[in-house]
Amino acid sequence: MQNVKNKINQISRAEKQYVIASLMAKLRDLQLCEDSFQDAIIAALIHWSKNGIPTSPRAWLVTTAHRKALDFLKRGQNFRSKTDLIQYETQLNADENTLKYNEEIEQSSTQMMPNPHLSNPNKIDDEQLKLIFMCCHPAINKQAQVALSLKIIGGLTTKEIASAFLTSKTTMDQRLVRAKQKIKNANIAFCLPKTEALTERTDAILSTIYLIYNESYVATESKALTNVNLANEAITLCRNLLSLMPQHAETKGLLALMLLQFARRDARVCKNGRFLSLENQDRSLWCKTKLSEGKDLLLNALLKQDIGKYQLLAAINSCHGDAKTYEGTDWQQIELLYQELYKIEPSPIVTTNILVAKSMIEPNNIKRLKFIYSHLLKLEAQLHNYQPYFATKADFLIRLNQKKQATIALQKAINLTDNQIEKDFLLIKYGNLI
Amino acid sequence: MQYMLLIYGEESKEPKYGTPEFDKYMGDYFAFTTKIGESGQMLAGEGLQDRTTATTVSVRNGKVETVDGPFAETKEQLGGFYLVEVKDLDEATALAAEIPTVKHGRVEVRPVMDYGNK
Repeated sequence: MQNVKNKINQISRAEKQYVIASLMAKLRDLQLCEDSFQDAIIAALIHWSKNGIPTSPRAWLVTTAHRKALDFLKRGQNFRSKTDLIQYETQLNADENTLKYNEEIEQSSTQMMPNPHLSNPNKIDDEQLKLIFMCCHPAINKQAQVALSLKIIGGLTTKEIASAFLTSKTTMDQRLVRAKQKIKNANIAFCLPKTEALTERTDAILSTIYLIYNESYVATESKALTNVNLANEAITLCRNLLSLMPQHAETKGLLALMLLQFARRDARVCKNGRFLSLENQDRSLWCKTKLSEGKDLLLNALLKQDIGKYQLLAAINSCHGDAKTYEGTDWQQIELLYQELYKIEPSPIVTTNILVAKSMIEPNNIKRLKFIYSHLLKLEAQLHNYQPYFATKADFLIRLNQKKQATIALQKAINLTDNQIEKDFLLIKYGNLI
Repeated sequence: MQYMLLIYGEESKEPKYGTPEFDKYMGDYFAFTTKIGESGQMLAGEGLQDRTTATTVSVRNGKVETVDGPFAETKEQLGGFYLVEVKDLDEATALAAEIPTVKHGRVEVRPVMDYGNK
């Protein structure tokens, strides 16, 4: 029994997005779709515990969830018109006939069940993509996009998402409810974006996924007691998206980027829980499998000759991944890659990185270092609230042997961060100076 | 589905009357209005007189209070609107992006309440 329950939980997580996509195509009401899916899971708990798990749990869940939705609609007047309702039921009956939907056959779980709603593989992809585009619609606020994606596509529970983001379940619930109401009331379409909006809309999905990935650092480093690993969730979401858009270079680039960064995860924190910068990491702890998967994906993406931000960031991380030591890193290459990134994203943050790379090409040439440092100072007005700028400034000053100035920069950096692990890291540096 | 496109602009940023920029601005509005009129998407649309003409009314404890000025004193003020009939939010925002004022101001897109009797 417990075994079946665990299995159903797994299936529920994996199949949720397919079932919801199929329901959304007909119902347009995300809350109703989720409720119907939940009802189907409850039905599965009862039926499958008795009769075993069917050969195609997805088909079973899709059909049952549609039935549950229809029951609900018949009870209320939520459907736009009686005609729509009748049409829906007729369609469902027809679908079930083709399916030869028969509880006995299905429960004997010997026969493969074709699925009418999901019989055309291209159509499944389309429906699923529509669902992702909807969850990451720019008219929904970014935090809610993150929560919706994890809930609807990732199949996490509200409680799990809340714990991963260190908020209460109530807060997360409200955020999700508001987003679902916005989708319904403002009529955010369940459709693929028009060609002219495709790039922008795909970028929105990628940035939501990368946001989830980056949140994983905040969440894990504040020692949250959670079994949800947002980095893994983001990687799974990206793999999922890539399977739907296998030709999209930037999606591949983002997956590569996350894998290349994730590969260094174990080396980022030393035994006593302190953060270690790239410079001080034990490179033997880097995960070779992830590094090589990331690199392969990146090379594959670059072949498409449709360069973008994530591919460049992945390439930069790949350079680090290839290097045996920090000093032995191909800084020239890194500088060029940041220069390219600057063309896409001209920001003072990118310029800071260009200057750091430049400074590492001839690390002991003090004259050159001073010259680069003078360029760094020009960015201060724009980056006066950006912690990494002051940490970088301090590093330059330490290298230039201006310890007093360096402590002032570090003090500023410390004041600008709320993250305890970052704070501890900077405090140790500070302690070494005075 | 009906959406209200509320056009907010900053009067100081609008092209000045009598300049070639103003003529182009009006021409763009005329072209847009004609386009969505002919496509059947426009249900209504008007420009409003400037904020100095605004009067705000409220009733408190049965007493009518009439105050000079717009409801909210913000830099960007409501300057006009279109009421359109389109398929979904994406179509509404696409139209909003074509409104000439959007280049210096903003357009708020609001779905119209559906009382279920349309």
